[in-house]
Amino acid sequence: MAGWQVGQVPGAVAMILNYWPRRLRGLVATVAFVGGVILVAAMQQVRLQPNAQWTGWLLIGLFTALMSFSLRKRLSSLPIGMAATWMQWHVWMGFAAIGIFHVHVGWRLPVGGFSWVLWLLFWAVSITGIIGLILSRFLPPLLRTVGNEVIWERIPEEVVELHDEAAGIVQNNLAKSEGMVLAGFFFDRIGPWLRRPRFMWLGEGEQRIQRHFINLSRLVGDDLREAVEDLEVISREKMLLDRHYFVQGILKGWLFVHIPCATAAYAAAICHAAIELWFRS
Amino acid sequence: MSTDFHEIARPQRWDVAFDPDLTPEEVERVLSLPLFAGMDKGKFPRSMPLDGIVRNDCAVRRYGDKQMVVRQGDYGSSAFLIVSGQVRVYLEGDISDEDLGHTAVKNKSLLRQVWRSLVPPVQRAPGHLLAVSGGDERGEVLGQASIQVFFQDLPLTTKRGDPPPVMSAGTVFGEVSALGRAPRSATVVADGPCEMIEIRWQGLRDLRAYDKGFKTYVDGLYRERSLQGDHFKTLALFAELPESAHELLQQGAVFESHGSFEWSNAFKKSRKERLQNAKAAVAVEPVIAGEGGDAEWFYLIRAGFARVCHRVGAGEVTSRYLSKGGLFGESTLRAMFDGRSPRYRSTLRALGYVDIIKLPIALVAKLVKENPKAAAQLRQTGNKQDSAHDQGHQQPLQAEVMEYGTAERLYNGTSIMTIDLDRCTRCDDCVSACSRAHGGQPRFVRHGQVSLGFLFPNACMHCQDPVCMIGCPTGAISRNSDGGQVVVNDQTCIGCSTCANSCPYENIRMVERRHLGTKVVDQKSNPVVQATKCDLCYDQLGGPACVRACPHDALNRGDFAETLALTERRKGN
Repeated sequence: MAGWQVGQVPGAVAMILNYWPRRLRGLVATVAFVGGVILVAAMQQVRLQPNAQWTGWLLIGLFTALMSFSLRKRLSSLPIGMAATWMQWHVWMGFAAIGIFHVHVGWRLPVGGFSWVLWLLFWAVSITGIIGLILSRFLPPLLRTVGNEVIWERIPEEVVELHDEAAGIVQNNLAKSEGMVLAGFFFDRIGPWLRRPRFMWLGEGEQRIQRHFINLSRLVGDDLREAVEDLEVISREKMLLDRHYFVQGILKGWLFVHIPCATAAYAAAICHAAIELWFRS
Repeated sequence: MSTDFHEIARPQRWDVAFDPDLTPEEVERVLSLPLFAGMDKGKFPRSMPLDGIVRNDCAVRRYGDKQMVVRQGDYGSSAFLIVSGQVRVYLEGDISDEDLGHTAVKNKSLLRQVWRSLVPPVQRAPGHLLAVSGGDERGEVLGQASIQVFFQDLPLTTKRGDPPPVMSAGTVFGEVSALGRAPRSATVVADGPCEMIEIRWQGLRDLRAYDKGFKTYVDGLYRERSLQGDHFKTLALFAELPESAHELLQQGAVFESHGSFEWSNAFKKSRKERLQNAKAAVAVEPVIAGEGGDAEWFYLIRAGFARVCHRVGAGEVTSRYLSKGGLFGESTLRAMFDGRSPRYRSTLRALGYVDIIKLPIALVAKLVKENPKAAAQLRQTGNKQDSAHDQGHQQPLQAEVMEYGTAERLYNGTSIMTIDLDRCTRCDDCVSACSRAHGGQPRFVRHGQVSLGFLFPNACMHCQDPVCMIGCPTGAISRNSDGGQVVVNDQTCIGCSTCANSCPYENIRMVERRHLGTKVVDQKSNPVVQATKCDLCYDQLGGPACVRACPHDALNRGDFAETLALTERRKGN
């Protein structure tokens, strides 16, 4: 998109539009917007004019715009702008909605059952949204340090493959002198863990695995050395898969809270508006 | 009764002739032309007879006066033999872009895009396939109805003031583009009514393979024409030189090819060895000019790629890579200006395959020295290159990507997909968007090699040198003439896997054809497959769906230079 030219708009504005970091621009615009709403509402309050109605419609409008992001995701192949831009708008409009919500409710706690439901749903969707935003900024770099990129949906399959590979190693070595020790280790220690992905981040995982295998190596002879090493490699791979399962699960999982909350909040807001209109008429 | 599969005849090469209307009489007439009459039919294998090539890979084309035959800048995959009449040749700049009608991709439709995103998954209509009981429907679909463009006012002279060169009966043209997988370098216009034989590149390749005389003739033309044109004038270093200097450069120029034209197979096979022994992998690349050696030549890359590297310890570090239009020897020129001995400061190696034009460095030094603007240009580019030369020491991060990209031949890509793993939340919106844009079948997998926190997924890079096109027997994989994207034609893909096997980056997948949710099989009940790959959403509004769908700005597409800049920007600070 062509940038604004100095001369078309005041110089300082052109500079802000062209050069300020995107986040700063969003922050300034949001603060200005919410500040403006607060100012107008306060002036109306001084004149004893009601402001709940228009701030309510403003909120409904914001909710609709926020919900449309989900629709944009479903219509991803259509030329309706970059999802990243939509995301930015979604975030800043979400923050703006928090400010305007306070103006709308008059900086008070709600009164009445339905208002409480609406209030709680609004905060649920706002808090899960903020948590999701933080997670989506901080977890990807953490995930990168895990290494071994893997697609989340494929993790259970890969874990089963690892389990079967480990079971095969144990089975192939059963006939050896300490084969039963190896089998016991497999069934008691790592077998159940290897069977399915675990939603966990093993703290000091590598050292723990290493300790297990050091203990095991004391109990088996040289003829099983290779098998033990192979099992250790498999266990390390499983640990990395678990980490991916855990972090990617969180990155996907928060949406399963945020979206239902948002849908419920939107539906409740529409009901609230309908009830208001009904009684007003 | 419902069936679990849809049976068709297994697609074959030559199912669809290049010119379905070519009659047996015309085939005989073509075979009697001097170029074909001299060929020894016995040298052609039984599976690939000469008359079969003519019947299936050639087309008879007739053009009216001032009708455009090929357009400069278009990607062509065929060569032409003039049977009668003559044509005029216009090089870049002789005819304006507007007159040439260079336009954006047509046939984009929002409505179709909406429909495609709503229809249920994988509906590949088999109407174009050869049903067991059906006729050759694919020929009709393909229909060689070429767009006819006539010029009203053609320039009488070229931009150099000369009349445009003329080619007459018996001449072959278009081979540079057909063999080099490159855009047409000239616009060719019929000068009066003329008749031509258009040979698609698969046929050209087979004729070259089985007839020595034809190979010698075509290769000679390729070399000769590769030296023609304004290669030097388009370069900043030579742009200010007078016409007389350009003539001297043209006279002194020598054309050479290094490496293997079909480099991809060897590259693919050596993947494991490259990872284990990077030093040996570099050592097998042919040296064009060696570091420290006496400098005799100044090099210009005509096509393909070359690596510029310098010795560090017992190995070599890559300073930069050169593609079409790249120069080697500028630092030597500067050294000569400073009174130092003319030696190469770096080594120039062919990466896979490279066509070069070399010029006597003493001549270049003399001409540049005589022209103050050219000398200033040399100094200016020199500063940049000197910093690139030391890149390995100064910017380790970018240098690492450079080594990785050069080793993995990423510089070949014009639209490399990169995913910044520090931003990617693994939501797979990119894959979903791709799937929705392509009837439920994603054209890439979010899986591939990782380097410096960037994932390089297995998505087609739309290479400058698309080696996947080399072996395609039907020409199903080709460049889109508008944007140059490498695309697969579902209608002519016979599922032979040649392109998938040729792609050095494993970015082409073979998938089973399906019709209304059921498998398509041949008469032996074997599944019929077809090649599928990223097409960069070339026929859709808004560009690649994957890029548009990423909510975190993690996915990018760009050439290698842009990828280098991106890694530096994202990770370097």
